[in-house]
Amino acid sequence: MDWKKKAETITQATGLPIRGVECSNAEWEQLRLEQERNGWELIYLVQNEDRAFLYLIQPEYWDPAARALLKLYLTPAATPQIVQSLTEQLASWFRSLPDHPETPPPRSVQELTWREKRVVFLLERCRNESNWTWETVEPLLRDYIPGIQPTPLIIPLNPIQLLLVVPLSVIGSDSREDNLEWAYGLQELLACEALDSFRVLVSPPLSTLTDAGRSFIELYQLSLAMQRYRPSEMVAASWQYPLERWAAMLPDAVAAELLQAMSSVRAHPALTPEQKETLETLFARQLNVSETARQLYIHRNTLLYRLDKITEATGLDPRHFPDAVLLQLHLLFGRN
Amino acid sequence: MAKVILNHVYKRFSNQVVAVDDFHLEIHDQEFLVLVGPSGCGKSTTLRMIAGLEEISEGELYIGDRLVNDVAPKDRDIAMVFQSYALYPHMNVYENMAFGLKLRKFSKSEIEQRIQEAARILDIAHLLDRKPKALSGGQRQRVALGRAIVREPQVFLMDEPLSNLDAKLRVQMRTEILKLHQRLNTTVIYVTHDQTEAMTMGDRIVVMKDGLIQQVATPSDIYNHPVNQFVASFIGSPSMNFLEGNLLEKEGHVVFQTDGVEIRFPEDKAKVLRDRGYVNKPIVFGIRPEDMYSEPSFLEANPFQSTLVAEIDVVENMGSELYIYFHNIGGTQMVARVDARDALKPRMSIQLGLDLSKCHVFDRETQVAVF
Repeated sequence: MDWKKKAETITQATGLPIRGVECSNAEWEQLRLEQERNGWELIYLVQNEDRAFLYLIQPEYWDPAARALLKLYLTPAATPQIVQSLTEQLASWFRSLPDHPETPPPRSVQELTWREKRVVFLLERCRNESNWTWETVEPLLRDYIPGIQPTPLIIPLNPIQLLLVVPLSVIGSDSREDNLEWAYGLQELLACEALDSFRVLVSPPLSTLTDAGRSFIELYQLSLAMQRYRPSEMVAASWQYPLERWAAMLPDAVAAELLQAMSSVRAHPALTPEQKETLETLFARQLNVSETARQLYIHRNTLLYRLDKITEATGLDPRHFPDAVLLQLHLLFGRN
Repeated sequence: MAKVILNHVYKRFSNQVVAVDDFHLEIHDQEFLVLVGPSGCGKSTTLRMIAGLEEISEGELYIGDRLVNDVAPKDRDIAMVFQSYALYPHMNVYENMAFGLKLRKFSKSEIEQRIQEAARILDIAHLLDRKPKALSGGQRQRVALGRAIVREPQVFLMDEPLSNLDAKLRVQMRTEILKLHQRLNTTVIYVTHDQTEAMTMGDRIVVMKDGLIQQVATPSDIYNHPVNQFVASFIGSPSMNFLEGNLLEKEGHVVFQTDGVEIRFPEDKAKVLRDRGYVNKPIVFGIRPEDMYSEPSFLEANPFQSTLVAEIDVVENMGSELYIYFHNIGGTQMVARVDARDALKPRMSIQLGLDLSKCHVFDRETQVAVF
């Protein structure tokens, strides 16, 4: 039976609203979002080589039994078909958020209630290989996290990124310190057991799926910032690196203009790699000289000597907060 | 246990930066090999290529007799210990160590046996029930090591595993890792930027700079016979002193001359310098801080008839010895390690006798060691 005719037959038989829409395979996700904004829900998707056929219903008219029967009716054994799983629907929604942050969660999961708070981790593989899939890592994550369900808590977004949504009761506490420790544990797990490099980003605990969407956008922005400004840092939290996140969100042209504007206030000679490392460490240690010296494995006096040299070269003393701000901005935008 | 062979290995990044340049070395079975060098020298990249975390751009890598260039990291039979000693926070120490074995479907009895053995070696048997939060930094690092040990891999790869520990603990763990190596008899490849760690731990040391191997040798060979000025300056704390000047033939002797100071080389060294054509040429003279003596007995004997007068800028009292810093010779910052019983203070002058049997000379242009 023709798919469009099938939709009409269902409407005639049930009197309930159902609609069939056809589009190209590349367009169907966007089409689904548009239809959902108008109150329609995707109940079934059929795809062939280049076309997609969407069956959409108005959910308030369809009780669970009618929906189940409808799905059964629409699923012929021999027809090529793709039924989107909950994980896929969530992945599709998360993927749309960086470009369309206001998109609501898919209707089918909107009512998904969380009995407790959850923490979202964004796992990012550092290498991009076309033949690699998350299937190699998912079993490891399931073994690692006690009681985790296969869906919807492990959500591969693409070959590079995967979202992991972990109930707070598994983590044991909602303190930032504990969340971060979990992120370090995950990074270590993947490094030791999968022997692969991943960056792990973590959000604070969340109560709803909509919150998770907002949190994902923050993690996505943090990811851009880390790639650009902190490529060697493999674990970070959405409450960290605000300056880097802000800088990463600026268009390149604006960043270049800012750098130029700063140079007009004070000319900065090129800093040596050692001077840059010294400053980065000092800023990461909240301008604490002793901590910085310890981190750099140098004597405190050696550090003071280096800082004096930087002051001599730039006219800015990194031990003083206003000067440190200018130097940090100079380092950030100088990387571009 | 296995040897590891890197056969003319290169790592080139997409921006054409050569991170590792023709690394060619056989690491012996059961050897403790240390890769050392400054930031960006390629030591960690080399280790990551051995682990399979970085692709090899060119060359061959063998672990045992197996070519592993295209073998996935998890199938290389290696274990890595990283700088961060993050543990799995929701698991106790036992579970942390057991997790990798459970994944590999080891029997319960085998897991129990391996963990008890590793816990005994690392002295953490009393901590097996504790969660990571209840452990100190040193204890966490031991557990991280334990997680690697229980797997009994062919090769251990350690990437600055002690960097996050405080100085005292670092010294302690250094010894622990050495003892561990002696007990396990496994090949260990260890990366550090700390030359003291390299000197105290390695059977052999590979000194790297700008992606290139500078020297591969035992710690004492590296220390006593550095092949170039970089190795000479990098290994040793405080660093070797360097003076730039000229070599002259004077009254039948080969003499190094700089800023009013003359140092007469003993005949065996003079012969080498003459034979290799360095007379009347600029050179770099090198001497380690401990090869300059302030003791009256040495100065009286003055076996090499060579002394310097140091006008002291700074004195660092290390307890058993003093480091005296001075820069009155050619404006070069120099340091000598002298007896702590000497009552020395800044602005004092002191005569230092040089042990020229241990001095070094480097080609001024190429920085390669003459001896």
